[in-house]
Amino acid sequence: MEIREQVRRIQNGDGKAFEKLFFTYYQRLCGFAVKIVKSPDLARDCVQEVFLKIWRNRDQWEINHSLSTYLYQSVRNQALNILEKQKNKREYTQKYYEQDFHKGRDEDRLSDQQRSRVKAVWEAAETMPGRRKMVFELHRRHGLSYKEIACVMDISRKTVENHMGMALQDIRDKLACQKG
Amino acid sequence: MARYLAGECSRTERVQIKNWITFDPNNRELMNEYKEIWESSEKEKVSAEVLFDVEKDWRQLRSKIDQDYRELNTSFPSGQHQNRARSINLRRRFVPFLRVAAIILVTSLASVLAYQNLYHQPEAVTPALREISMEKGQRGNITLSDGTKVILNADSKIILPEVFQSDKREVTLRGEAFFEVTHNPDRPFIINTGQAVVEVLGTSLDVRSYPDDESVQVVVSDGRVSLSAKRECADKNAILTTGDMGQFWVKENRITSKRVDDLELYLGWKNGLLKFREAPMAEVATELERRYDIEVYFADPELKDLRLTAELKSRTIRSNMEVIATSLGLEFKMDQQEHEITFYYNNKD
Repeated sequence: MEIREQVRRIQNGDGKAFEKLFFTYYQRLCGFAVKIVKSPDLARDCVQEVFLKIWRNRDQWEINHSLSTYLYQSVRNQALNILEKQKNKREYTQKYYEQDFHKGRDEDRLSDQQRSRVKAVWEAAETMPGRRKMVFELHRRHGLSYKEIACVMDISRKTVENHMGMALQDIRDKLACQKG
Repeated sequence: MARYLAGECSRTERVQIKNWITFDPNNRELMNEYKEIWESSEKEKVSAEVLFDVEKDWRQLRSKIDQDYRELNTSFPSGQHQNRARSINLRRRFVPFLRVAAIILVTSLASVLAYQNLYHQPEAVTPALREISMEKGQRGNITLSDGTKVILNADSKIILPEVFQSDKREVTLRGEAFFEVTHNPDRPFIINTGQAVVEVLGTSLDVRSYPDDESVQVVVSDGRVSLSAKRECADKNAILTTGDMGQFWVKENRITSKRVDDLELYLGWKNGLLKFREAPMAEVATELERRYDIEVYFADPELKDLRLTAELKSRTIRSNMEVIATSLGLEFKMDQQEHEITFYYNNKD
């Protein structure tokens, strides 16, 4: 099913197409949301809320850029809303922050050396400032293009590229520093 | 630099980078480091499956959606083929409401028929038939008017009369279904497939007869069943009991039976499990296409002869494909719509 066709079907209230959308994107969106809200439970709520809204307002559902852009953008907005509410409550717990939410799907096939390398790269990435980290993640982990990232984060494409350049530099420096 | 690595830069930019690299060996070194970081970072894609159970969470979302519908007094549309005349498509995950719908449909159609019979003397001898079908990627539960429960597998259909005759209950099956037949010694339950007849008194069994299958296959999970051929056959009929599998071989015109040591191989589909033991990939591909409504391709025809032993439990297509690929040492690629999957060798060396 072509994406545009899938979107059209959902707009027309096709439950099967909607279900397919959910199964295709749910996990990766949760993986993204959890980085912002820092809690699997909140991430789950956040992404489900996005899907619920799509279904409830399906007849007015419009996609201006790509479907990925739309979904990641909605999840980001929703996640930021949740954070806003959380902030009023209390500082969110730090414990999830350290937790490793990602297990690479190819990881089993990597050699020990490669695996530790991948780990080192992401550990270095983890220490970067928020926006830089998000750009790096969205591109390298979620496979979004610079243009898509620009839409999702509501910044210019040029800025995205700058962030990416700085991210690479950061990580390189960190790794070089470790090697001594 | 970021554009270059992402493959999003222009030709002039590419030349600039190339020049910069050749200008100084240190630059080359630096570039290699960046490339290495770039490639390493990609090897850890999102999967987060440990934390997010997509199937469970889908049910959770569905219950929220169902709440909406309860307020509206309607139900979540199960698919675009719903309510085609005389043929309904049932979706397995929406089973509870569908089960009710099926019962109501069966009984209401029956009463409509009875009503018509009162006013129009039935002239035709053949009873009106009803057909229930599942498309690829679907699976559904049906409860028949005698209480018999049927789970219809993907790409299958069952044809049954609006009302069963008084001395027997007769249905026709194309594809695969699991039956839990309500016990009634006075009215045997008869399952016709194109080539074979299965007669049941009260039992649970799986009948499989897809058009491409070489045999009509019956697996008994509980009770006693008779399997016989439609045409003249050297073997009369086979009596099968719990744990037996009987097969009518269409080309050879023979009936064989044997004990089954692992019922899940044949019945696992009811619970969403696909289990294979030493199954040729060509066969596996057919099963996958049916189950997920996808197209499976092989980059190299000899891949079709590889044999797979695996248990596929996950609801996501991708993770099941990963299990297959890993256990056979293959790679696969999938289009974005998750509709076409191609298996290939990982750089034969």
